[in-house]
Amino acid sequence: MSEFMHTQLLAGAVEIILNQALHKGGAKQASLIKLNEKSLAVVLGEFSRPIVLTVNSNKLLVTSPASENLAADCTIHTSIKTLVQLKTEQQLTQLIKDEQLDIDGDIKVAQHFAACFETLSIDWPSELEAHLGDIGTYKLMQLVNSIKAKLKFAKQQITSDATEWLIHEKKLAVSKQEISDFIGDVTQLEQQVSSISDTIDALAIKLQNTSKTIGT
Amino acid sequence: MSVSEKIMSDANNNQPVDTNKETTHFGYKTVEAKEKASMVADVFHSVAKQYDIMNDLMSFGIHRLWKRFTIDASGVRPGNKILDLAGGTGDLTARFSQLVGREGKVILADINSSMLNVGRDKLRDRGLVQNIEYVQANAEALPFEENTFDVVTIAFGLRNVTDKDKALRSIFRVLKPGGRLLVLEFSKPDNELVSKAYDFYSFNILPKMGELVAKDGESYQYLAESIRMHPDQETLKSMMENAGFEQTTYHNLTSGIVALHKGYKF
Repeated sequence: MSEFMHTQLLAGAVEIILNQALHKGGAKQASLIKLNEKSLAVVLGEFSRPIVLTVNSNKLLVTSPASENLAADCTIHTSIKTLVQLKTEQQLTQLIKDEQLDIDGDIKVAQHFAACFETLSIDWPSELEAHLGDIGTYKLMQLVNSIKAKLKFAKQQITSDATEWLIHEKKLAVSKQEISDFIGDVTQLEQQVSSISDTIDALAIKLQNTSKTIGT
Repeated sequence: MSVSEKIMSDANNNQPVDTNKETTHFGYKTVEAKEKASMVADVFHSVAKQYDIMNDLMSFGIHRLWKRFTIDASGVRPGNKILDLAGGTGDLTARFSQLVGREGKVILADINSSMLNVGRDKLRDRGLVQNIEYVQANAEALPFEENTFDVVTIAFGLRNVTDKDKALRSIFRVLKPGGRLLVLEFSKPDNELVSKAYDFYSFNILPKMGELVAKDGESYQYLAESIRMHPDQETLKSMMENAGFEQTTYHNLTSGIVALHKGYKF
């Protein structure tokens, strides 16, 4: 199946599932009204096409236009990895600072969409099964699990690399004993220098006196 | 070589350009050019009521994905003015209507009154009324002012037009500068195996399906023949360029069984 089929099939199924879930609760209708004719685009680094969510007459439309045709009230540029990390507002600020997440446009639109979605509870495998069938869902879940496994592996790699770096750093760092020894060495050297300096001074005076005696 | 033989020969070479403007093709038949429109009209009057069911059956529902892809490729924005030409039962219009919003407008145009009626009833039943207009129009002579539309689409309609070059010029005229035309149409499969399976399906299964469901095998025989007579990807691209379109590209869908052509007016 070609990429266009995957994208359109998935966008179509997600659109149906989200609309069904959104319309189950009356409270969410108010949030949808606020978003009428507003659109939120999510550009994920892992995918070639952005995902655009548009609300019209209490219905959510999921489209996947070409990047050059992207036009939305708010656009979020990020990656799945970053979204997995995103749990608190503090983290959001940090992620923006770290340039892992970028928001263009009206941030209120993103906040309203988030408010709509935060109360949703969707059993994705069983919902997808109703639209894509057993095989389609199985394949899709396989893909999702494979992405999850890759992300987990990447996280492990990053963590283990960080541990390794710390060990190297520790090896390079100077211990207290080494500093104490170094201070001792410096003190000893200072004493030696001082002693040599005294000897030179004494020699200089002696030389001066000898010169005077010869002169007279 | 007779005109009929020439068309068949051209069809086999995927160059179905009938240079004789007095006659044209209606499927594999050669007919008077002036007769084609009414013959095509008869086909669509006959199939209008079963059109949506047959589309789902014949394409196994994939036509919905082709249409979604077309809309995604159109770059439609809120406030845009769209012409859904040969819009039939309004699949594209329905979605465009939701995407352009209250400030935008979608014109569903079709030469065939039966198709237009089915489309209008379907969209009204779905509550889509506020920004849609219905116009019975011939693609070769569009009844709109110059520079009117941001997007013009013609999905599975161009192959039924008698003078395609004239239709393309007419579409070019009504597009605004910066506007784009999207032609979604059956085309030439890019894979030999798919091509053979597709031929078998089109000429052996499709007409029987039409006979069984729509009680009209002949119309679906015409469908299969008209697809084979339609210009292939490169030919249609050249035709669009000749009509004035720029940055013309095409995207094969489902191994080239269908292609989406896109061109801009600057």
